[in-house]
Amino acid sequence: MPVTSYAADVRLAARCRAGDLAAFEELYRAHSPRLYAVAYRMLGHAEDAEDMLQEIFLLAFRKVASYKGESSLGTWLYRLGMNACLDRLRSKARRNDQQTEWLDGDVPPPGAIVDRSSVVHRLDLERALRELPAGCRAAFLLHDVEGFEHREVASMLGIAEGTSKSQVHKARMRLRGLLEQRTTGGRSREMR
Amino acid sequence: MQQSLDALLLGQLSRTELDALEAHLAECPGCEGLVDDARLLQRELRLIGSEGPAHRGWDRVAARLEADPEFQRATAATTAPARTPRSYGIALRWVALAATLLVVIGGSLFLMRRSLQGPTPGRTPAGAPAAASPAAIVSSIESELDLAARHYENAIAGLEQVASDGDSPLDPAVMATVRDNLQIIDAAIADSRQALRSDPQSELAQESLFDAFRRKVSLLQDTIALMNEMRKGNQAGATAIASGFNKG
Repeated sequence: MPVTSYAADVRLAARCRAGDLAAFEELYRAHSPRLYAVAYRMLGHAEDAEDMLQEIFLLAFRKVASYKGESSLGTWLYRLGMNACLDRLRSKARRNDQQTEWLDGDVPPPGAIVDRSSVVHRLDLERALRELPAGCRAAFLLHDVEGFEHREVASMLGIAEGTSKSQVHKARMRLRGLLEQRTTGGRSREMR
Repeated sequence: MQQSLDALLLGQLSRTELDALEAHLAECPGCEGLVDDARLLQRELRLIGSEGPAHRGWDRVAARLEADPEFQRATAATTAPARTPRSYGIALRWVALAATLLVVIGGSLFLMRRSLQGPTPGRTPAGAPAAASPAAIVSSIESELDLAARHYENAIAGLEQVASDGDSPLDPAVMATVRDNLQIIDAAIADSRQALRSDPQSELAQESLFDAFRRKVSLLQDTIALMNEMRKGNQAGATAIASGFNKG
């Protein structure tokens, strides 16, 4: 994330609030790569991530008046984007009438270990990620990939801290299992 | 192990804790596999989407923004002339108060404008040293802002006294809304003051502070106007004013 001064962030936010398109372009150039990556991982498809990026910047315009400079503009935008992705996941789960967003049941027994000497095929990984229930995927990504602590994950998803811990653990086990199935199912693993 | 793995992935293990974990992993293939896989997944997952958005991504975002009615309004507002002040049909007592406010606000805005503009090149304010140091200029701006803020605060105190009339004809729910809005504005005033303390020259913080003052004055004026309408029994006028309270 680009490092900017507090004053520069506040000035940029004020220009955005005033409907200055050049200011938005500056904001986009600085922060769209990270926001896109987050959206891609959360939503699972490049097209969805592109669409979400547009939504995030529209949302940023609508909410920029609430930016008071408590954090950097990049952090504010990241949180905004993350919440937008979570909202999208929730509404998608509702539309699909998904019974549960969470992984139930026991985790696979130890032993289903991916061959650690090689690199995982990205398409396998993306597919495995998409196969996780939405809530479980969000908790796992927020913790293991985005680096939020369990109490923060719990607060963002509106769940108990213990639920976050168990879902992240189950997601790790499930991903190991899914990747193992694919790699032992005849598909040759290759370097990305 | 789960706690250690969580802390490891978040980069929160101390050197000692890391050494202890590595010692355990050297003797426990099960845990070693778990940790290695979690690290591998973290590394690989962080690469997903790292190619960034499409090259024409900004064009699409710009098109969406430009098509947005709110964005169009914001852009237009930056070049639109100032709005004409609302006229309030208020009693004589309030007219006198409003006249006082006008003088106070006018004076405050004049002081604020002078503060924002800073000293004019080639012109030295009477009584000021010929070449003021940057620190002296900042100090001067701060004291002028303080003066303007005090004027506002005095005016607000007068309005608050009137608005909190013990004989208020207002519905308790309406008064609760007014109080909620006042709390929000007070929080904005506190935030702006805090920002000004961090950066006394921040134009945005100065603008935010005086914008919050203006909103507070406007809300209090509306409250008083509403009280008058209620006393006169003008339900339609009261409803029209009250409906604006939640939009503040």
